[in-house]
Amino acid sequence: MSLQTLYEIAGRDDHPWAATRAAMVIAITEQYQGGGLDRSEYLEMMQDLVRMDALDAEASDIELKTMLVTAVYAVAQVV
Amino acid sequence: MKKLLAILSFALLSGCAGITGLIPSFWDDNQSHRIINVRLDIERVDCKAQQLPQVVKIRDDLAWFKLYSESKGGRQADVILLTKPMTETVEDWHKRVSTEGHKDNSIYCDLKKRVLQEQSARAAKAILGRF
Repeated sequence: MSLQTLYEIAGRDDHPWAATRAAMVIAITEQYQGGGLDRSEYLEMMQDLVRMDALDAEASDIELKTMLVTAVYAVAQVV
Repeated sequence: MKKLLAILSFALLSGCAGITGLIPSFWDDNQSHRIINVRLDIERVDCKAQQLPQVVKIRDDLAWFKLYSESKGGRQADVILLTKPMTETVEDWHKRVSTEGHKDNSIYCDLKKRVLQEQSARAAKAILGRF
């Protein structure tokens, strides 16, 4: 994926999480290319973005389970 | 009917995860308080100041959260897993700034702060949104 594609994703309003993530990749890559980060710092930051996906998945799982528990509880109150 | 609903919820939840992750963790005042402390620690990071003591603060609050959740026992696996990526991000930062002869890089700090702001906001939303 080119930086141009990332700029396009960063500018989109329909998927704010993707825009935020793309903006981060751009910021990290630009700093690396400009000498603001060394290679090990750059690789570590990229690893952090991968970790963010893992965190997103866990958060979505908790939110889904909470929704189910809430829904079942609400139905139980009505029935 | 309530028995039927209990069976239904069991069946639905078992579809979300393995048998060990069957029942989600529920609201906890201490976990909620601590995850906001973590967010506050991150918000207050000043990248022009020495990084090590600031990273230690975030690391300690995350360690508190993990130890408390482990001590609380069963059904806390989901929140421990949730905070694991953040802990790894902070551990890498801590390892780097505690290395002898390390010189703080404010650009690295700014980017690390942004990543952690995003991670902690997402984690806090899930933790505070529980039933």
